[in-house]
Amino acid sequence: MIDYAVSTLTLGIIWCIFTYAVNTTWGWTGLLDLAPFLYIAVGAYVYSVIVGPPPNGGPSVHWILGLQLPFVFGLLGAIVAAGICGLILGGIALRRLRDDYFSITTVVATLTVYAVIAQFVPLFNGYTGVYGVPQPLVKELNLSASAYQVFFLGLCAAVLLIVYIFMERIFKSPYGRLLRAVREDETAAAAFGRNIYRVKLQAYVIGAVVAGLGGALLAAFLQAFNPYAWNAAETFLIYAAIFVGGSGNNRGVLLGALFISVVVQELTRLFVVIPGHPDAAAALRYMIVGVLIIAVLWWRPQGLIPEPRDHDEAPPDPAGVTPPRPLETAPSDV
Amino acid sequence: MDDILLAIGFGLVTAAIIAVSTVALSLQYSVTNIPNFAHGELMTVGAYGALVAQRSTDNILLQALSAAIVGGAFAWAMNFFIIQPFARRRPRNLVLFILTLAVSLILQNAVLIVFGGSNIGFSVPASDAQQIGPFIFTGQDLLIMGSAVVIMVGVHLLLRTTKFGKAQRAISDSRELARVTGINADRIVQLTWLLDGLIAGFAGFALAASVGSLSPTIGNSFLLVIFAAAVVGGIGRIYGAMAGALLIGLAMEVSALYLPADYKVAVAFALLILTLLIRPGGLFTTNRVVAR
Amino acid sequence: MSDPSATLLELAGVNKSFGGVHAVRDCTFSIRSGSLTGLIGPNGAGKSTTVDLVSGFKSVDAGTITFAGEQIQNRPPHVISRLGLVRSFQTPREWARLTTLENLLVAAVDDRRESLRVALFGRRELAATDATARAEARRVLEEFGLGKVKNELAGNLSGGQKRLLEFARIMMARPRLVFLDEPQSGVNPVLGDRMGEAIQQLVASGITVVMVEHNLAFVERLCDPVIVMALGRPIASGTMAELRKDPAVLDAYLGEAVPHA
Repeated sequence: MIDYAVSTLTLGIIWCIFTYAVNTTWGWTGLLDLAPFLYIAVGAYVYSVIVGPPPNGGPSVHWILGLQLPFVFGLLGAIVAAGICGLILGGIALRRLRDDYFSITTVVATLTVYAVIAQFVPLFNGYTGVYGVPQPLVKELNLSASAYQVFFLGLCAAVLLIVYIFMERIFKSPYGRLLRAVREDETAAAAFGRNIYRVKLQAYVIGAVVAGLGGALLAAFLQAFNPYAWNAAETFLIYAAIFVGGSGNNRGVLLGALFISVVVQELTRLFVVIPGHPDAAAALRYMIVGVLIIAVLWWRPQGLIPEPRDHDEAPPDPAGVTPPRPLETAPSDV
Repeated sequence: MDDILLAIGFGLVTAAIIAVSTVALSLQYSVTNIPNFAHGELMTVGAYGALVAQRSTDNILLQALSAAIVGGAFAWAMNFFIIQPFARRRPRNLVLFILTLAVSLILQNAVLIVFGGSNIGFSVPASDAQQIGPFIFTGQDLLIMGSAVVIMVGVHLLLRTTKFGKAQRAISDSRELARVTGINADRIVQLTWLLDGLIAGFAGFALAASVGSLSPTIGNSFLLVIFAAAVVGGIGRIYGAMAGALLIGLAMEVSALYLPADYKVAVAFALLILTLLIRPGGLFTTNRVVAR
Repeated sequence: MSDPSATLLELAGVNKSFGGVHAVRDCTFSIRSGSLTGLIGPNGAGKSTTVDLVSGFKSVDAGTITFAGEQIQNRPPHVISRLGLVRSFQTPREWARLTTLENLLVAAVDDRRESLRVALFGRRELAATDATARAEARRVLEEFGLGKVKNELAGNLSGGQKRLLEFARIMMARPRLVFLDEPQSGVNPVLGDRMGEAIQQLVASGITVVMVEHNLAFVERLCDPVIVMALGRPIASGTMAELRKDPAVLDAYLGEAVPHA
């Protein structure tokens, strides 16, 4: 039971990281990116082939690399690879495009990459996928299986904490303000000297990097990765988490991600058992998520915890505030 | 050489189905300005509608009709109960897009729960294969292509000659302007969704008949090809949609000669990206559509 | 300020057509530094298209636009804006879910302050520059009578307040030249005087202003010179009094409001 709770929570934390990725692109910058699972998968695969062993399971088993490097290199590789993918896809899809075209392009790209990864065996071993990925520091620590699970939970929580701190810094900084201005009205942002293509692309790459990081942790958790571990439809679970928790709010994101990944996922898994119908639980979960998205958008579009608002207080020192300037008189020539 | 002709023959049938579905999507997209992600599910429910009808009748026409009616009913309801109430609040357009994503999720999984996830065989009785020019088509292929032509001509006439078509075009240009000139935009939009669903439902039937089986993801797996065809042809451009469908359908089937069949999707994607890079307004448009 | 009579902006033979319709054709005029110029003309005269062309939001088919000695035609909007030529829009385009004060903070371009690196690792640096920017923003808000709503979401402001916010943002951006596209539209006429004051505040702070406007009384009260456009090109310019006597201007306005009104 404790093992179950620990692994559920670990997965929940990894989902929080996914959700932060989408909060950057959609929540702050207003880009309806439907490719987060593309970056999650890229991160997971790249992590697996950097940390994992070279393929050895007969002539039909293939994957690239298999470097068996320490997990930190796996995380870095995952981040870089996902970032590069984001740069390429975002670079194309954000170029002079209407925002609906952007969304269509990202979803089509995800499905295409899915098809290619699943079919093209030499890359990541097709449908069988990459397996035998060692857990981070498992040899060095030499813990019991349960104790290691707790350690891994702590590791994921530490990564989440770092992501959270960075996200808070972004949100409270002029940079985050700029992203939100682009979300609110990009034309006005351009009129005030902002290269909106660059701003959006940068935010998109941040999202891809964070998603890739989450993907690496997912692969570390699963110790393997294959096309059955991800699909484009799971993107909606992330969006549901953001809508429920509160778009743009870092705490809302945590709440929403844990709610969707722990409460909705696990409840449907535990309590929906229809004999002879193995897909029913998953199907019902997606239906619930669909209804949830519509309901939240209708009744509470800002989410449970709305985006925090800047509150400006003038400094207490009265000398710091200049008195209002008197109105100038009209120019004499009118 | 024979392989290529055979592939082109397949391509024509695929293109016919894509074209029918794309025209419906493109029409709805241009009038409502919402990329309908649940379009694939409209095809799916249409196909299952035909499946249910098949249990009580052998008449192909009745099966096709029930597919169209089921698709139309769902599209109508989707707009009436979900999209329209939201649209009245004038949210960002992407919010309406997200709604269609949610509807897609609900419909696809509802079908899965009701009918199960496995493939169900679906065949329509057809005459023997016939040679037409260099191509060999089954009677079923001919039926599909024939009805595609009928639907295209029908949509063309509808847009060009009827009041409804004129109103649609007016709304697609500017909904505000259309409203000012006394067009009941809500009603036209509602009817457009209905029309979209009718055609999509039929396309789902044609797809299931062509594939020979159906599953809850039959429409959704076809969706990205349809979006690609719509974008390649230029959103809201009916003839562009036809040309885009033809290009993508042929490219996919011919590519299958040289590449594993599962890469067909990648071919559609490559054409989509190429279009976005070269002419974002669509390959077959004379004036580039100004983005926004 | 440099020589006040110097030309700051010059359009020479600018052309733009949409699908065969000439929106702007052979358009040539110049704007003096430090002036408050009115740009008027009947509907469809090409005024708004001119604003779009000058600010880079639409591409020029032919002709040159020279701003402060530099050719700017067909350069992207953000580049033109950074050169010191800013525009407003017919509808106030406030950043709705940012506060009024934040709207001003974003209006002032500062690449260093807005970089991702500073956001993640430069908090000390940020604290100093952000405080300066906030103090400036507070001052500008007070100047435009928006001090009380500085923490309100900009989307919740009234139509008139949104217009004032527009002016405050421009003040904060400190451009050399600003194109105001119908600054009176959507504003309660009672507030006309307040708008006029705000525009004069911009001029007084050294910003050259070009104003596209339909309200001719408002233009007459504020602007000198006034340029009249019709059918995509300027047909006359001068003071409003001079323009009233110009037969070409009267012709252009036939069937519309005559400038006497």
